[in-house]
Parts: sequence; C-alpha cells; structure tokens
Amino acid sequence: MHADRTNRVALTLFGLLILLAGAAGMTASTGGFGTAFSTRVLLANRASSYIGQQGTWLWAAAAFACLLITLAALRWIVTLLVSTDRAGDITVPGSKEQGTTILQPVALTDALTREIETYHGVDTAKGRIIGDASAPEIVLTVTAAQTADLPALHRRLETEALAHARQALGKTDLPIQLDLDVSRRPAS
Amino acid sequence: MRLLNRPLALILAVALAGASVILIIEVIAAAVHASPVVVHWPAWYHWAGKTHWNALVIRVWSAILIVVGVLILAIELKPRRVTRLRLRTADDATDAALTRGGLARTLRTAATGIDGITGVAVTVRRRRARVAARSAARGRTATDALKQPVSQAVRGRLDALDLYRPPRLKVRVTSRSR
Repeated sequence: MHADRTNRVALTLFGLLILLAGAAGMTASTGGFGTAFSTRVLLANRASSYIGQQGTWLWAAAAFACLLITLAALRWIVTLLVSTDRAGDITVPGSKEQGTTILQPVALTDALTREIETYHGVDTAKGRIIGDASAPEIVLTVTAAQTADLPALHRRLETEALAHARQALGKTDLPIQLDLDVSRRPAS
Repeated sequence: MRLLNRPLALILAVALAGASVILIIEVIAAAVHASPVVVHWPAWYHWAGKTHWNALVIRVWSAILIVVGVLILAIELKPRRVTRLRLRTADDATDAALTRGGLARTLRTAATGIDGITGVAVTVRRRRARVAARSAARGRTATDALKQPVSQAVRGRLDALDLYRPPRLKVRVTSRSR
C-alpha cells in the first residue's frame, strides 16, 4: 500500500479548504464582511443568484465535474487498498539474439541478503525491489551486531554486495537505498 | 504519520466519491423533474433561505470547520520525525543511512566500553545527540575523570561513521545514585 505523497497532498488541501470555509463563515457571521452582510440570509449573495440564473448548464457541469471526482476518488481507493510499490519481473538488458533474461525480484533480494548475512558483524538483512520493473530501486535494511565495525561494514556493502546487485541487473546507476541498523540484542 | 494518513485518506476518498455520486443522482433527478432521490435537498435549500449569517448555528459550524481544518493541517505539516541519518557514500546512486535507533545503540556501545561506566542512555534527535553515562564511582572527581574518555570514545565512533550531517554531541557523566 502506498500513495503516501498523494494522501498527504490531498489531506493538506482538504484541511486548508475547510479551514478557509470555516474562517470565511465565521468572518461573515461576526460582521467581518460588514454588519449588513451578517444580517442577510445565506442565499442572499451574488454566487447564489448566479447559480439560480444559470442553473441548467451549471448543474450539468457540476455533475460532470462530480463524475471526474468520483473516478479519481475510486482510483485513489483502489490504490490505497490493493496496490503495492513492489516491482514486477525485471528484464535484464542484454543481446536479444541470445534470448531475454527475466529476473524475479525475490530471486535477486534473496541472493543479496544471503550474501550480506555472511559478512562479519551482520545480524540480519532484508531487501525488496520497488518501483517500475523498467526502473527498479532496491531497498535494503541491514541490521548489524552491536559490536560490528559499522564504517567497515558500510564500505564492504558498497563495494561488494551493492556492486554485485548492480552487476546482476546490468545497471551501474541502479538506485539503492541502504538502511543500516544496529541490533537491540547485546553481543553474546 | 503514514499510518494515520492512510485511514484518513480512505475516509476522505470514500466521502468524496459518495458525495459526488449523490450530487450526480440528484442533478439527474431534478433534470427529469423527479423528486429528490437520496437526499431531501429542498429542506436544506429552504433552511439556507431563512437562516442568517449571524445565526448561532453558523458560528458553531464555522468553529467546528476551523478546528478540524487546523487539526488536519497540523498533522500534515508537522515535520516528520527523523528516522534515518544519511551516510556519505562513494556512489551517488546509493542512498545509505544509519537509523536513528542504530546510531543511539552504537554510541551507547562505545560509551559502555569505557571502564567505570555502568550504564548509558542515548537520545538522538535531528541535530543533537545526548549521551548520559553513569559512573560506578561516586563523587564529582570520579565523574569528571570519566567525562573525557567517554566523550573521546563517543566522538571517535560518531566521526568514523562519516555521517552526512552528524548531530551535535552532548556528553554528561553522572555518579550512581546513593
């Protein structure tokens, strides 16, 4: 489940919109737009008059806008409930004459984490591949033992494991997010 | 934040879709001169035609909207808690970082390794790391004597990590309570 950026933007806009609506209502009610305005009924304003005069086409336009909003909202709901940020099968670049190589993301992450877990000072390693299959990104979380030499481990990860992953996918500029953590378990 | 945003976003999306569908149904019903189908909107229309802006109900609803709007904006605009501190990398395509908890634990291990230190508490924030070490011996002389080795060990560990923006370090050594 993702769409975190969309959620944040939409909720911020919604919050701003209802804050502005509330502030406008309070200003109108307390006489901020003039005492005369505050004594009028809610529908006695230019916008209401305009809607009343242009009703036929305006409501049709509103209904069409609502149709678009419904479609966008449904897509948002589907994204929130069923979509994933995990990449699909990745096509490894190479000569087409020799066939196409398809790599399952889990195969790469399994090989990568198995390699990392053999490194000195590593407690556990977890990995996943996110994004589009044509532009994947590896996200790795490596938990080191409390006594591990973190700078040395970081160097080794960069020069060996991450280099191997890039080599396997044939992408020297493959984006990799590496999160180093330290185990809560005291060293035995 | 993300865990709160997802249900909030789902509620908003469902409400938007529901309100839009109701409006479409009512517009079509009004166009074919049928009576309201889902919402009895003529009652709302008459209410808006006789309610004045200075009515108490308008102030109450405006206040509710202001409070809810401020709450949502406060939740959304609050700076996210730092969970990872970036490490310098040899390759631009690598985004390496040490977790906040990981940094706290490695600094704690460094301070605990000093003889005479019995316990260490580390707090890491966006720009500051506080190390509070407790000495086995009592008295100010003992704690003063331990402050430099503890600071050196922790500083050495922090510098070796090669963080992109290392937090400012504050080390305090206290004697054990009596």
